[in-house]
Amino acid sequence: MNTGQRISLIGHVGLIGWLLFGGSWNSDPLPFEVADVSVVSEAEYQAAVAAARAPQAVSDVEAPQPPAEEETVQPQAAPETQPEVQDAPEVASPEADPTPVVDTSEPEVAQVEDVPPELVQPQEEVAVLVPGASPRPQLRPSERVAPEPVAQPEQTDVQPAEEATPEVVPDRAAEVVQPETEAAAPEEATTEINPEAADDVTLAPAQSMRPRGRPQRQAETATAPASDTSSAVNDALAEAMSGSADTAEETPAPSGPTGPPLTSGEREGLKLAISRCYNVGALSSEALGVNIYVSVEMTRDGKPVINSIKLLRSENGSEAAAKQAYEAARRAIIICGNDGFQLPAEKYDQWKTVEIKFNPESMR
Amino acid sequence: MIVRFWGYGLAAFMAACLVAASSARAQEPLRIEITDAVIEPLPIAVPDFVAETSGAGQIAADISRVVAEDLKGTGLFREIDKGAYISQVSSFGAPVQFADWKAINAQALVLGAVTVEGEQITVKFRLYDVFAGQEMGAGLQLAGTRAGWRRMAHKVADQVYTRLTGEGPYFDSRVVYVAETGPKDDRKKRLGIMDYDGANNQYLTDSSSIVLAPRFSPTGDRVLYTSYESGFPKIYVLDVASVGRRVLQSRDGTMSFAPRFAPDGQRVVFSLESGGNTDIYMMDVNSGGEQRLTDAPSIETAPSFSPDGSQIVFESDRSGGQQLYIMSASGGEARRISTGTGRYGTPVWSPRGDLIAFTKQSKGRFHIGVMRTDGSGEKLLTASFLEEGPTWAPNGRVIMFTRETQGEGGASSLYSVDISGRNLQRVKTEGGASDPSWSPLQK
Repeated sequence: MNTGQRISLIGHVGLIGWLLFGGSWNSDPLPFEVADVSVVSEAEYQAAVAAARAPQAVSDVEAPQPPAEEETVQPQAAPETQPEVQDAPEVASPEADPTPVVDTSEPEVAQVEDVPPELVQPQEEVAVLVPGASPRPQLRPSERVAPEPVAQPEQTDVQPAEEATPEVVPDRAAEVVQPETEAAAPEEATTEINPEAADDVTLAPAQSMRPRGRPQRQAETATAPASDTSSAVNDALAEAMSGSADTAEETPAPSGPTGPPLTSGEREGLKLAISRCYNVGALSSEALGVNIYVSVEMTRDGKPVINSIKLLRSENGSEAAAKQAYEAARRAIIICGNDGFQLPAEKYDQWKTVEIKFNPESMR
Repeated sequence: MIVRFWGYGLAAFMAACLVAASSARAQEPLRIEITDAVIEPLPIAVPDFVAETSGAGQIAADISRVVAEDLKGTGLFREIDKGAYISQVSSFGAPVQFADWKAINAQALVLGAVTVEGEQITVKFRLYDVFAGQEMGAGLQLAGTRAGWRRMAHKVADQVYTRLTGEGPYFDSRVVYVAETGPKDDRKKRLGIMDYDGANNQYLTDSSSIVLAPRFSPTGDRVLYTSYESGFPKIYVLDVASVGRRVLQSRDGTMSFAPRFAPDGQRVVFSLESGGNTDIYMMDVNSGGEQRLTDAPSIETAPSFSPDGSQIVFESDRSGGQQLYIMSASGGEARRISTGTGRYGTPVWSPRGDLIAFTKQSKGRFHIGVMRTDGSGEKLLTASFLEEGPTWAPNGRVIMFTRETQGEGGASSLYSVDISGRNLQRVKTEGGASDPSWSPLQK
C-alpha cells in the first residue's frame, strides 16, 4: 500500500470512527433544573390549598382592569429576558465546532508523511483507477511536501520508506513512464509552492482536475496495470470492474467524447426541427388532445434509427387516438431526421437516446 | 493484513460507484417536449387503380378520381400530382417501391384495382405508410354493381380517411335539402337529395308548394319535412325509396313545424303553434299520440335529441332573447346553456354527443358555432351576412349549413366546414340550396 492510500485510509477510518463514536462521547447531558423540596405536614398542606382556592373565587370581578396594565408591563420584561437567553446560545455555539477540529487534524497527518517521490507516482496510478476519491489526498501532500521533501529524503525516515518502496511496484511503471512524470509532477509542485498562499491551489485542483484526468489515465492503465499485476489496489479494482469492464470500455472510451450537456440553443434547435415536421392537420380531434412519449435512438450523424422509434406511453386519450398521434410523431421524426438533425457530434452521448413528449397544446 | 483488506474494500466500493454512476449517466436519454406543430394537408399519392379486366380502365380511373377528391375535400390531404410519380403502378400485387414514393414526399399511398364482369364490379385497395414502409391495416375488397361505382369509391375513401385520421367515415352519405330556383320574390322550393359531394342529385317533391326543414330519419330511409301544401304548415313524412309521403296527425287550426326524429326513429319531436303560443311536442309516428313537453308563454322551437335520446336541446325566448336550453326528453324544467351575447338558434346535437352546433346572430352578423353540452367552449366557426341551419356529418367532424348572399339577387347555397373552423368549402349543387340535413352513413 502506498502512502496516498494510507493517508486516505487513515482519514476515512478516522472520519468513520468519529462519526460512530465521537458524537456520542461528546454529547452533552440534557440540562435539568434542581429545586429544593421541603416536607410539609398534612395540616400545612390543607391550609395552603385553602389559601389557594380563595383567590380564585374572588378574582372574577376585579380581573378586567389590571390585565391591561399588566399586559403592557409584561412585554417590557420579556425583551429583557431575551438577551439573557441569547447569551446562552453563544455559550453553546462553540460546543458545536467539531468540524474545524477535524480540519486542523488533517495537516498534522500530512506532516507525518514525508516522501515526495512516492506521492507523485501514486497520483498516476490511483487517479487512473479511483478517480472519484483518491486524488484528493494526493494533491494536498504534494503542495506541502514539495518544497521540504527535497531535503527530507536525505534525512531518511527509514521505516516508512521501506514499507513504501516494496508496495510501490509502480516504480517499474514509473520507469517506463518516467519522462511524463518527471516533466509534470515536480514542475507543478514547485510552481504551486512558490506562492505562499496555498488557498488558491487547494480550491482549483481538488475537484476540477479529477474529471479531466480520468479518461486519459484509464486509457493508459488499461494497458499498464494489465501487465503490472503487483499492485494490490489494481488487483482489487480489476476484480471489482471485471464484470463491467467490457461495457465500460465500450460506452465511454470507444463511443467517443462525452461532452457537457446540450445547450438550450441546441435543444431548441432539435425541437424546432422536429416540430416543423409534426403535422397534426390530419389528426382526429381526440388524437389532437393526446400527449404521447416517444423514444428514438440516434446515429452519430444525427439520423434517427427508424426501427428504434417506439411509443413509451400516452396521456389523455384512447389507445386508438394515441396510435394516431404516434403515427404523426413517427413521421415527423423520420421525415425531418432524414438528412440528420443538427446536433454536436462531441456530445453524442448526450443525445444518443432522445425521449420526446409530443404535446401539441398550441394546436388544440 | 487488515489494512490491505480495507484497501481492497475501499477500492472496490469506489470502482463500483464509478461504474454505476457512469452507466446510469450513459443510459439517461435526452428529454425534450414538442408543443408546436404544423397544420398542413398530408401529401398522399392515389395512382389510377389498376384495371384487371378489359373494359375496366375508365371505371378504374373514375373510382380513383373520386377517392382522391373525397380525401382532398376534407382539407386534410393533398394529392400529389401524377406527373411527379417515379414509380408507375401496373400491377396491384407488385412490391411497392417505397423509396420512389418517399422521394416525392408521399406520406401515404393508395393502391387499388378494379375488375369488371358484366354489371358486377370488384374494387380492392391497399393503404401504405410510405415512410414507415409498411401497410396500414389490411387490404379490402368491395363488390357491387356498375351503377353503384361512386358509392364503392366513397367507401374506399372512407376506409383510407378513417385509417389515416382516426375519425369515423362520412363520404358514403347523402344530404337532403331545399332546392331553390327563381328570383327572390318568387322563389320555388322543393326537396332535393344528393350524395354528400353534390353528385347523384334527385328531387323528392315538386315546386307546387313551399317546403321547409327536411330531416333524415336515423336510418336514412325516411325524411320529415314541413309543407304549406294545405295552406298551413304541416309535417310530412316521406319514404325516400318510394317517394311516397303522408301527413302526420295534427290538429286543425294549428301550425306544426321544425320536426326531428328521435334516435329510435319511432318518435318525432316538433313545434306546434296554437292560440298564438308555440311549444314543443312529441308524437309517436305510428300511433300519432302526442305529448306536450313544454308549457310556457314564450316561443319554444327547433328541438333536437341527444344521441342517446335522453335529452332535448331547443331554442326559446323565455328569458327575453333567443337562447338555447336543454331539458329531459320527457319534458320538465329546462336549463339554459348559452350565455354569450347575441341570439342563439337552431341547435343540433352532435352524433358523437360531445358538442352542439348552433346559429348565432350578433352585431348584425350570423355565425355557425359549436359549444359543449354544458354551454362551455363556445367556438364560432364562420361569419357572414346570413347563415343558419347547421347539420352534422355522420362522424361529427364536419358541419354543413346554409349561407345566403346579400341583396335582391342574393341566393342561398350550402357550405361545409370542419369543426376546427378550417376547410370552409362550398358544396356543389345544381342551383340554390338551403336547409341541409345530413344522412347517417349508408349501409
